[in-house]
Amino acid sequence: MPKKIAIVATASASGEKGGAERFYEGLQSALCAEGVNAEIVSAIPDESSFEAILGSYLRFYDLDLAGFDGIISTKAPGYLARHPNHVCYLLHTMRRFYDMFDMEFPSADEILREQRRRIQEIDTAAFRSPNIRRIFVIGEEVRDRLERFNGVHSEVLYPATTLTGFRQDGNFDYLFLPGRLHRWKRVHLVIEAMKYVKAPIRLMISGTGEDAAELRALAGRDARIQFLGRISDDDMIRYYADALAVPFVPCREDFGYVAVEAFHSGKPVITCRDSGEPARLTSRFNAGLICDPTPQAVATAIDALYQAPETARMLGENGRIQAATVNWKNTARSLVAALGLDPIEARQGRG
Amino acid sequence: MGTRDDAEIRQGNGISGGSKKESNRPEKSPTLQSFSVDEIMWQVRAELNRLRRGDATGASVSSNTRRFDSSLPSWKPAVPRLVVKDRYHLSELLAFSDADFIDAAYRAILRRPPDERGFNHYLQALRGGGSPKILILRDFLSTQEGKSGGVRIDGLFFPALFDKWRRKKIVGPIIAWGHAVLRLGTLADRLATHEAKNDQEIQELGRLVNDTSELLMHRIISLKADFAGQRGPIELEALKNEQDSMNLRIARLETEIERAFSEFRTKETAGGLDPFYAAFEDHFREDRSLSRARLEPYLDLVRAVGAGTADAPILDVGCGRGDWLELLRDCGLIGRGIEINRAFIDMCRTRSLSVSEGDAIDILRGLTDGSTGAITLMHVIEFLPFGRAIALLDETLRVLRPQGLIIIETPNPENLAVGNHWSSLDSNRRNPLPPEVLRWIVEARGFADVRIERLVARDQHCPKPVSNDVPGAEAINALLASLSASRDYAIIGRRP
Repeated sequence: MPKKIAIVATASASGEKGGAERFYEGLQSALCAEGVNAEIVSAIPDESSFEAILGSYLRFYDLDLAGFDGIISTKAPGYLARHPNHVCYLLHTMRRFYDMFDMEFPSADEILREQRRRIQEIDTAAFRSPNIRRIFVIGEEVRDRLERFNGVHSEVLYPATTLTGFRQDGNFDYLFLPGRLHRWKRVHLVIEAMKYVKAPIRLMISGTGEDAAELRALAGRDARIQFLGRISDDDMIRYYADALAVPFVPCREDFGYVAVEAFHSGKPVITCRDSGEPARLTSRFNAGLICDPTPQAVATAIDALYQAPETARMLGENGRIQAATVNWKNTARSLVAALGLDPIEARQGRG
Repeated sequence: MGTRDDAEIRQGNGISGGSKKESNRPEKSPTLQSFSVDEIMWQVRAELNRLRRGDATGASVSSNTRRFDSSLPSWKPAVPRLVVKDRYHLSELLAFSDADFIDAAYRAILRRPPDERGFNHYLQALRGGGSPKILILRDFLSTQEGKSGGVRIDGLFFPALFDKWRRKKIVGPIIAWGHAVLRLGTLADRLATHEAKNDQEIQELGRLVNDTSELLMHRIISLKADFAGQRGPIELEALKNEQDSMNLRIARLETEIERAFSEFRTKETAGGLDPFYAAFEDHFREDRSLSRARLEPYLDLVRAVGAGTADAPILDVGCGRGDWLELLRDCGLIGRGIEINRAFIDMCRTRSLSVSEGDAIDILRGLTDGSTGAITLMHVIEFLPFGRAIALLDETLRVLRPQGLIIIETPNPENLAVGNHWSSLDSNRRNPLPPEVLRWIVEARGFADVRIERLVARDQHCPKPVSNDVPGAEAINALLASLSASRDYAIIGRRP
């Protein structure tokens, strides 16, 4: 009998597929390829009020996972789930009670600060629960946060993208920025940058999100900026393929699939110093430009790449080569090993 | 980028099983509370239960229900929620029933949740049938509060008018009958609609009951699992471990106490025997004048190294009656004794000799390095277990100043009589040490120029060797030689 592993996931209420949903699917198929029977167990967390959040914590805490040989929790509050063989592969905690607290609640009162304290207290206690055998995180950004806010050590284990079929034969025509249209992604920074960009280059923005209307308004009548809305995976690959660069400038991003997908497509990434993991990867791979989080600085970077397409090509190539080393297989193996469900044993068990 | 970062990426396959857990755990940060996750979640559960209960006792049922945790299903009427707007159609409000209707009327027309008195009043009126929904709505609209709200309800005029007329005397019943006859045609339809709605509510309720019981079942199972599968054994394990360590501590303390007690007892008896032992030794040892003569050769040795001054005194370990100390004093040398036997100490003190009472090793440990000119151990070493003897030698070496002298006198087992009879004289003695062995030991502990001095037998009464022409002289003389060997020997060395 193959060992049964539960991936404790949080389903998005809207049903929209973001980075996290693709992460779950990628993880699941990679685990299955390692010979274990991985199942996504998900619940919808309710974040409409603090009581609702506590209720969600309790719901995950009460999840009955007795039928599994091991569980992998991924996101707040999934790591509250109780199982004697539990490995946490953390995407992120509830960021609005962590690094985004000041941005979300600029004039936080005593009640909000107390709520923040409680969430951090529960999280810390959960991470220290003796049942969690090991804590992995998807990047250094998350590792540093966990260390700083919860005093918990963790190990970086990069996830891979589930998109396949990246092309590297395209042109270098426009700027492509896919992703959720949310203020934390700072799409507005790129739109504002376009006011300073001298080069006659187009900016293609794909994706949907709660801040879409605002962003459209911000773009105004700038003919160079185009909103594509939600696009298919095939279109996504196509848009990546013909892009000059991917200006991805989120605020302290946990991982940023967009950057990794740009690397796979051989495109340079323009990102900001405070963009978190994408900035780290871009810097380490020498796969793009890193600038200050101001429209002027982003504009300068865009102009620079427009004028030197060969440099853009070279930076993109750097990223492509380095990103190729990150794959789901190694990630899944590490997790299965951490659960004590050795891949080789597991494979034999299947046979 | 730095190689440090690269090294920390865990993309390799070099990760072994989950045994590295400890390295994953940080030291507890002092600023963080140390509740376990189970304790915290227990609090959260209690808090949410409290909140839910508090909410359920409130007057209003429908529109304002706060959205708490939905881990237990809660009943919601099939009627949709009331949306706040300026204009309603009558049917929108009539869709609510009973308490919900009163609540909805308050919120729609008066723009506020009902006060308790008003709510109860209208609810009673509604339930009693005296005041149907339409009249209540009209009442609301006609109040000052309702007028200022400016809400319009379409389709209320004719029903209200009709209702008003129906309540008139004489014409009222006729109108009511007429109306009833007119409505008979649609009665079946209305009943069916009503029935369908009721069925829907019942269905919803049934589903809710099922959901709730399933969830409760689920929770009971997980609680059982907590007790049986996880938490219980872990806590028991922890308790068991604690008990084990307690037992271990108790056992250790017991042996400790036993040891201390037996030590105390032997000390007691030994202390009690002190005078006896002193008398015993006094009786069997050579008399004092003889003893002094025997000690005189050592005088030259200590004088040669300049010991016996205030800053390099002579220390006599196991000084006994104090014969040696007395001799030193008489020769103007400064000496001090160490003795454990109370009776001997008293003897020394009556002779005004300076003696420290206690265990030699302990006392030596209290002395500073290189503070002593010479240390003598006369008939001490053979009483000590090997380990103690070594410790004593080491302390001696430390306490002696460079070139400081050590003199160890001890019975000589080369003498057949000593090896056999003499050393048995004192039951506290262990085996006598052969001279070469002791010399080697002293040297091995770090002393220099270590030599053996076989002390010339002073009162050794031994037959003279027979002359060689006596028959059997060789055998006789060999035996005599082993009997005439010096009874004591000294090991003399210095600190390098």
